[in-house]
Amino acid sequence: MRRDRKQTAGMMRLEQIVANVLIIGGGFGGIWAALRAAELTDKVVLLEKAYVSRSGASTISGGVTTCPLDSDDLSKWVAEFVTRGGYMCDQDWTWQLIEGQRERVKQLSDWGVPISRNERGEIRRFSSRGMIDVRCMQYSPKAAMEELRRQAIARGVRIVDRVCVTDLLTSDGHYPTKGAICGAFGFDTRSGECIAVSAKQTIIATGAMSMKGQHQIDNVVCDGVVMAYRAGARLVDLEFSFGGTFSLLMGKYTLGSYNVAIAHGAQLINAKGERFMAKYDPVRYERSELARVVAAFAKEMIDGRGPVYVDFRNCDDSYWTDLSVVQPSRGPSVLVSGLVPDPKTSPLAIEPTWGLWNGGRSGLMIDLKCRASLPGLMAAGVAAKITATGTHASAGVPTAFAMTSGYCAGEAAAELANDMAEARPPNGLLDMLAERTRAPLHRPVGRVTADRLHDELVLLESSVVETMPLDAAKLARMVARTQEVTAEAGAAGAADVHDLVKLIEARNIAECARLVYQSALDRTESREQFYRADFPETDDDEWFCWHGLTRTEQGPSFDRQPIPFEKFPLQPPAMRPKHLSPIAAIMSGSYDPKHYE
Amino acid sequence: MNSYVAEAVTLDAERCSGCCRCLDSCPTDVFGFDTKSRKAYLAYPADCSSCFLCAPDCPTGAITLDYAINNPRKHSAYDSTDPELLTLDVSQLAAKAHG
Repeated sequence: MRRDRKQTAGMMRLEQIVANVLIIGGGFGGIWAALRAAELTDKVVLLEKAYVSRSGASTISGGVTTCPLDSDDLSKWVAEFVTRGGYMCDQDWTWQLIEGQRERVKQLSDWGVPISRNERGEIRRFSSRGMIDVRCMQYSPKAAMEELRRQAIARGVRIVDRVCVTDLLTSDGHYPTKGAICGAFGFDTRSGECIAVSAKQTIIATGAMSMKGQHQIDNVVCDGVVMAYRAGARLVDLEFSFGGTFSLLMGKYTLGSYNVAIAHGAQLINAKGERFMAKYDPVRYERSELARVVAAFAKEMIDGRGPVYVDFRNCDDSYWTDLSVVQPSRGPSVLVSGLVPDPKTSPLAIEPTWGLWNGGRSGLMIDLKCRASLPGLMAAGVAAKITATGTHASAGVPTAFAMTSGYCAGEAAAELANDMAEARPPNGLLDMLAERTRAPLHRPVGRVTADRLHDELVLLESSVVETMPLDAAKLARMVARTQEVTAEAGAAGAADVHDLVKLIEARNIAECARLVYQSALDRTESREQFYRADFPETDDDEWFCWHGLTRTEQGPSFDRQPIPFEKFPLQPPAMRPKHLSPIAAIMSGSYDPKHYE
Repeated sequence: MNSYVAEAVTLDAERCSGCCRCLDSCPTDVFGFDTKSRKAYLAYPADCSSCFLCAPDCPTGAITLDYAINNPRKHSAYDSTDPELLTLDVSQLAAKAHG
């Protein structure tokens, strides 16, 4: 007999766990939070939708992370992050990120995680994409995750793998709540058994926002951000969730890490063999701000100079060595598989993704202790907005932020929990959530399936050339479509527990995408990553701020929070009058690099 | 994922030792375990997203993956069926430059 993967009877059972600190999500943010919390308190529980060390963007990331060492003058690093990010950051967080990451790197090294090193055994560092002073390193993220799992378990963390969390628990049972967050509810993705964890502090560490089918991390969507929004937590800068990276080779193969390739000498050239980034950034070329490189790609395509090729002919030897030694967390690279023409002699067509991929540019707003806007709720990793960096962050920052925000969140959560009474969800809440979660299993599976909903959702995004320019009419259509998908998902049936997970993900993506598109409609300007063809100028008078979004009983409510740069050491230059954003300038053919330093 | 798409993952039952590591490896929960044969099987192969985490974890090499992204949800700006378009003939470029 095959173990019955179609069963639903398990959902009639409910397991209840009591925790001091609950962590939702087991990538870098979650596992570092758990590990640190367990050093300071007991009853630390981590719920993971897949299996910690084989899940999430951390595990299969390109293996680049920010790498500050004791010998570095970090004030230069902070200055580069702040100025490149347009001063739209919390400079205290910038310091916390870099100083914290210095300790995380030491720890990974002490644990023996494979890191690319030179012949003297020193960490081989390179300029991080988008930066000149800031350095990063290449390491094995999969090995790091395996070690972190071992370390967390050794400190007493209770890891519960294969749990799909559906809802946060609120102390008053209301959504949005006027009370506090007191745990979370979910179900085992195989048995269907419901699980409720009551917790004094709950840390959301569910990672990036993404559609399914775009980034080979198909269990990472936006679950935590959406469940926090429903409970009333404040999100920020959702319109900056549009993003992407160069990942697709020849229309069908995954490159591996673009950031690593260009750091080692790979170049982008058009069909005429021209290194077109020279027009836009004669210093950093394809290592420029990623959104600008993606826009330049789109411009080459629009103007008939495509395809765009990645040319590895100038890559140094360490690139090819590391491909087989440090990087193959996802199996051997296609570049050394023999399936593509020899990349050492033949440039290969490459293209970026562009769509829902927030990378920390948006998410839950957190403070220096990683507290979200609701009592009892915290966030770590890129489910949170990385306020350490502004409109631009370099390669390696999202993983660095995940590790350090995780560490800080775990520490703060444990300290807060140690001074709190046990948290209890209100009577009746768990029964209500269990009934609601199970409901799709009792409905017939009709024409609208979870798979079909995901197919519909990705149609909101297209190739980068079509997706990058936004305008009011297009965004209004996108909002309307997400509302239709949300309604369809709400009425759809699930064939089994596995299908139920995908249905919940479709509902979450639809809601998250709607919030992103509504935020984009609200922001009537263009700025760095964010490009509205109908408002192509950057408008500092109106939009030099964090753009907040909170669910109220009356619906979504936007706010603009001034960035308190007056309390920080680095002061922005005088505000510029309205001017074309970099992407708008690239698209109009008027980009002059000296105006966009 | 999509039922009309050929699946990227294959599992050779002859080589499977029944260690169940693949059941932990897969982020999208593609694998199941057959308690009668004591071997893994592909329970939801259409949900494979070609992440390549499972194959290196399999101690007997029973799992193979297709390198090509077998995924209509990914929108390419190119016609990937045209092999001429997708690599650049650098000798032609050099000839043009010198011509």
